[in-house]
This record gives sequence, C-alpha cells and structure tokens, in this order.
Amino acid sequence: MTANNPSVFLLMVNGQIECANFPDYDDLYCKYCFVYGQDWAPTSGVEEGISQITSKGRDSSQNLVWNFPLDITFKSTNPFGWPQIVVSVYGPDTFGNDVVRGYGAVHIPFTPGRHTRNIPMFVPESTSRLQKFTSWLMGRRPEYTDPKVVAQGEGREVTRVRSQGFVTLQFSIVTKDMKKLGYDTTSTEQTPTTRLAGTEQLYGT
Amino acid sequence: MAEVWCTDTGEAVYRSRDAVKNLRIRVRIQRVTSTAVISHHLQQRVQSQQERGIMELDTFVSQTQSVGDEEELVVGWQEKFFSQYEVDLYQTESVCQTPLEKQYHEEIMAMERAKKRRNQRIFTYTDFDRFTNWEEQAQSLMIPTETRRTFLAERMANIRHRRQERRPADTSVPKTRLVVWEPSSEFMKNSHIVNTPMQTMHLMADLGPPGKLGLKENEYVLCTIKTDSNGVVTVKPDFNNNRGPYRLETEGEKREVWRLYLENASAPIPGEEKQREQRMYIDLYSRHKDYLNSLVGQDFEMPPPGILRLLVNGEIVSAQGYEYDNLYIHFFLELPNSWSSVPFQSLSGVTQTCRTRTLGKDNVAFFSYPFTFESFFRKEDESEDSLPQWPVLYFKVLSLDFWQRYRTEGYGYLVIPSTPGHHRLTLQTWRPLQTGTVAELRRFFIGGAPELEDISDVRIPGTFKGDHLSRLGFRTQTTGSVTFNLNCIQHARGISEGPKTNAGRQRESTQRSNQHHRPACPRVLNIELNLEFFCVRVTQVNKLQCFISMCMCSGQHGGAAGSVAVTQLQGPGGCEFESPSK
Repeated sequence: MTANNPSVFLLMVNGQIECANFPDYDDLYCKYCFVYGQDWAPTSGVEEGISQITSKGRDSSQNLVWNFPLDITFKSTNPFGWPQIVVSVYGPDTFGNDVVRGYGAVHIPFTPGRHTRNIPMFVPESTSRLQKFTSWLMGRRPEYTDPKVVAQGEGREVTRVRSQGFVTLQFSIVTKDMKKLGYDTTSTEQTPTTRLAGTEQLYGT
Repeated sequence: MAEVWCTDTGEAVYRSRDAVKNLRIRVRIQRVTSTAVISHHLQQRVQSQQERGIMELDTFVSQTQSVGDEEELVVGWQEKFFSQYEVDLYQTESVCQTPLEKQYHEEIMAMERAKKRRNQRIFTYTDFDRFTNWEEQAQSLMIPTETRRTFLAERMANIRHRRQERRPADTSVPKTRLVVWEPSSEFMKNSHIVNTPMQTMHLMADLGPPGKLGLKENEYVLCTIKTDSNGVVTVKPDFNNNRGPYRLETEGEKREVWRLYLENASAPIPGEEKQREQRMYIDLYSRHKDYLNSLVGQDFEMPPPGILRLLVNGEIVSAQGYEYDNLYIHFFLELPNSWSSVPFQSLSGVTQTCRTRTLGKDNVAFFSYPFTFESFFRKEDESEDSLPQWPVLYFKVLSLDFWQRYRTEGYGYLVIPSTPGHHRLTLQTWRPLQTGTVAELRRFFIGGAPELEDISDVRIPGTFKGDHLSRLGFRTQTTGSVTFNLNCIQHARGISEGPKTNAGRQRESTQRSNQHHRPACPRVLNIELNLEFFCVRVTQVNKLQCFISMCMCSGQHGGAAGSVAVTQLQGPGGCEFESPSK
C-alpha cells in the first residue's frame, strides 16, 4: 500500500472486558465475539474468546472482575458495518446448571483514545409463567441460537427480554489512514458546552 | 551452567491467507543429561578457547549424540508420523477395525517393508486421531498445578470430539427463530463455549529411555497447532524465535529434562510473487474504492459560494422546576435578515403534553422532542465589520391541566450556537407577573395568564431600533428551566480551506471587513462570540460569564476576544454600565 494513497484504513482495538455487575449471580464467565460488516476483515489478533470463571470479591464490592484482554486489528474500505463486540455471560443457577445470564453488544468506539463502556445485559424470557417455571426448574433457560443476534436489530420484535446486570469494557483505540481517506473522527476541541445555567460563576480568567 | 529457558508457553495467533498445507514446522528435541550439560559447557569453553588459537581437545567432542537423545524432524500440516506404540499396535491386522486404522496398518506395513522410517521419538496426532490433550488445560497457568479441571475446561477440550458435524464458519446471523426456548444440554454445551470449527494437530514425542520406546505413558505434547477456515493459525507454544529452548520435564521415577526447539520451516514466498501479490491487493482495493465512488457519484451537494448552510438537529430534552404539571412547549425559530430557509420547512413546533415526575428535588418532564431545520446565510453587507446574527429559538412553556386550565409557565430563548458540534444547553425561563394579587388568584383558580404579545420581546423586540433597551417596569417571576440538545453542522465551501488557529481569528475578523471581494462566510465559522454582548463594569471582557441586566446594547460589533456567555436573566434593574474597553 503506498503511503500517499491508502485504500484501506485500519482500526486497532486493545482493551479488556473488565468486570461485571450482577447483583444476584455469582461464578460467572463470559464469552465475546466481534460482528462486523462485509467490508471489514480482521488482520491480526484474536476474534473471539472465553474467559475464566470468576466469583465475587470477599469485600462488599460485589464486582465480578475478569480483566479479560481484547486485542484485534481490523482493516476496511468502508465504515459501514463498524465492528461491534458481543459479550455473553454465563453462570450456574441454583441447581448447578450452566445457564445464560446476559447478552450485550456495543459498537467499538470511533475516536482514538481510551474509552470505557458500561453495557447493560439482557436475557430472553419466556412469555408464559408456566414456561418460566419449567425452565427455572429444568435449568433450560431460553437462549439465542447465535449470540451475534444481539448486534443487529432484525427479528427483535418477536423476542421478550429481561434486563439484568452490566458489564464494563475498556477500549484503547488507534486508527490509521482514516483522515487520508476523508473520514474525520476527532472530537471537537472547542469548549464543549455553553452552559447557561448560571450555577457556576467564573469571574475573570 | 545456567541455561536460558524460554518460559513463555502461551499460544500465538497468526493469520495467513495462504493454504495451510504449505505449513512446515521443524521440531527438535534434545535431552539434557548431566554429561550432556558438562560437555555442552565444556564445548562452549573449548570453542571460545579455540577462537583464541589454542589446540583443540578431541576428547571433549560431545559423545552424547547417541540416537536416543536428540532428534529433529520437519513436519507438514496433518502429516502423520507414527509413534513406536502405534507401529506396534497397528501391525497386527486384527486390531484394526475402523477404516482409519486399516489405513494406518497399510502405511505401517509399507513403511516397514521399505525400511524408511524418518522418525523415532517425534510423532504426530492429526485431526483424525481422537486425541485430546488433557494435561495442557490444567497445567499451564498455576503453580502447583491444579489437578481438577473446571467444567469449562472440560467442555473446551471436548469440542473436538463433537465437531463431527463441522459447522461452516458462516458469518450470517439468523434472522428468524432467534431464540431457543428449551435448549438441550447438547446445544448448551456447544453454545456456551467458543466452538469455531478448527482443525488440530499435535506434535508429540515419546520421551522414554532409549530402547524402551513405545509406552503410552511416555508421550508428551510438544506443540499444538490449530487452524480454522479463516486462515487463523494458532500455535501453542509459539516458535522459539531465538528465545531459548522450551523445557520439558518427564514424569516418572527418573525425571529427565529435554530441550524443545520449534521453528517455522515453511517455504517463504519468493520476492517476485510477493510483489505481485501486493500489487494485486492494491489493485483490488483501489478498484473497490472506485466502485464505491461510482455508486455514490462525484457530485456532492455543496452550497453556492459565499453561502453558509446551517443544519441543526435538535431535541427538546426536558423541562424541570415548574410549578404545574402537564407541561408542553411551543417554540419557533426566528431567522434574522441575512438568513433564509428552505421552503416548506416548518420553523415552529409544539411538543406533546407531558406529566412530570420527581427526579431528585425537581419535577422533571421529559419530552424527547426532536426537531430539525436547515437555513442558509448570505452576507448582505460587507461594509462594516458586523458579525452575523444567528437564528434564535424562542420558546414558551405552558401547562394544561385536567380542568382545561391553561397557564403560561415561562418564556425563554436560545441563540443557536455559532460553533458546530454537540451542545447541551439548559435555559432558565421567566413568566410575566401582573401587580396585585388578583392576577395570581385568577391564575390559580381559573387559569389564564398574561402572555407576551410578541414572543420576540423575550429577547430584542423586532420593532426595536436604537441602542438602549429598557424593560423598566416589567415584572417577571423566575420559573424553571428547559434543556435542549443541539447538534449543529455548518457547511460552506470555505471550510475545506483548513482550520484557522485561535490567534488568527481576531485578526481575520477585522481584516475581513476590509476585503470586500472575499466571501465572508468562511471566516464566520471560527468566531466564538455571541452577538449580544453587554456592558459590564469590569474592564476585562475575556471569557467572562456574567449577569446581564435588562439594559442591553445591540447592534455593535463584538470586539471582545474570546467568548462571552449569557448566564442568567434576572429581574429588571435599570442600572447603567460602562461599555467594554477594548
């Protein structure tokens, strides 16, 4: 690729799935994968992974920490289909069966730099009470056939979900050649908001 | 005597578009015995002495290069090498039941006849052999090694056995039947783990004592290689890459130490072909780019020269702190003289009626009412160095209750920010008061309230000319506040000329007035001033946020450098102030 006339841009994602906040559940592990459009391809790094099983801390923090690393580089000709990371969390229920505890997805941030994302998680839920009871009893909770479903909007109208838990992700993003191809993803450098609230008065500079 | 071992036995991930069958790995194992260590050490000493020109010592040539202690082999992808145990096992035909075993039998017989056996200790398990590396899962991460595996490790190790249906690596996400209501345990075992179909190969070595090969307990895994259909190759442990050998320690009574070297022996691509491949990629991408360009077209809709186009996508977020419930907001946008708008665009709107809820100390009504407008600015007079007046959004907050009582809750205005980007603004409002208690009682019981006849009175009345605005005698009461989210885009031909620095801006604004032939629009963008500015007693007017009184001076230019923001509208006060010194 000639440096003056690049035809692809690169997106380098580093980061970690830091921790989860599920007040009611313990001993969880998570699995992640990336969903991206047709024009995107990973050039190096790991595209999916599964973490260790972690329990809540002894102190009252109630955080489940994985610190599971993410490291992938994408190349693309087109920002459409910007990659998303899909995280699925699993853990044991009261009977010891391994059930799903949450699905969540978030877009990889556009701007270079360090970002933290706190994504809420949800699980599909049965519609009838009887089905809910039997699935609780048998340990067979409804799951998505493919976790990548949560990265798209189609077909959602037939599902019913319940929200539970949050997962915190940290990203460090580096991009290459986006400006040369005409894409500007930098945030504005000027003072971000003009506050007319009058609560803080600053006199002089 | 200390040897540098490589202790990092983590896996490495490689990506390659080439065919996996071209992969070749050179494996070398070497036993570390005490004599071998000494002789190794002495050999090094001898060699260093030799460099200094001293007589060589024949006796110290390594005598431990016996057959059993060192081996090197180049292994191709999925190339089957038999261990001594397998040779012994598959020689007898009656043992072979499956077609695979029968095939092995044939190969072994042919090998024995031809007396061509390339390997002694090192052998391989290909994807077809049902071998699962149990120890690998448990040993690598902890000291002392944990003997009991977690259920997850067991599942991951079991993937291979269940991979017979070989799901293709599809990227299509299902669009119907998204949810499995009662997943079977099979489904759960498959979906709770990472189960991309992968082809595996294990490089093994039989590290038994020489002469006693062929015992299954002496088999150790040297390296595990996995590939998937996307060209991802995982090698665990990674190639040595001059980091020193890996250390293998045998179990059993006699603990032996072996050195392991792994090297990538695949034939590299010749230079010409590599160049050709790179050129092909560049070609492919530029053609793809041209194709996308052709879809979009070359014409980008640009405003005519000298015109600034302002696009505002905004949202009325919420209103908080108001007396009554069931609020709605009626707003409209006023475009000053030099601004024009797209025809058939509505510049006003009314939100829905929203009931408040208590959030913290306030009663908040969330509207989430989006609006959008587009307008064009053309600089009419290039004479003086006047800055353009930006559109103003006037709004009034009203409440309508169950009894159909209608009350005004507040008036406010918002000057569209002159910088592009995202702005979240909270504006305070006031409502007019009439003197006496009757009006307030009427407002309480019946509803109805004094309204402003012309809403632009909130700011500078349209009919106002002069330079001294006085609202003396007008009484208002402070009411709540309204929050807006604005996303502003400014579009003009001059923008692509490049950003101007802060220092240059002020100069330009004064320069601009002197150059009549230049389009004024590009310069407008970089100026952060608001147009109304006010006289304050303090002489420094750099980035002050200050109260404004009802005395405002209009129509002069913003000579202040830096932004001056409007903060609060207070009650009427008829004080006079000095003009800013600049």
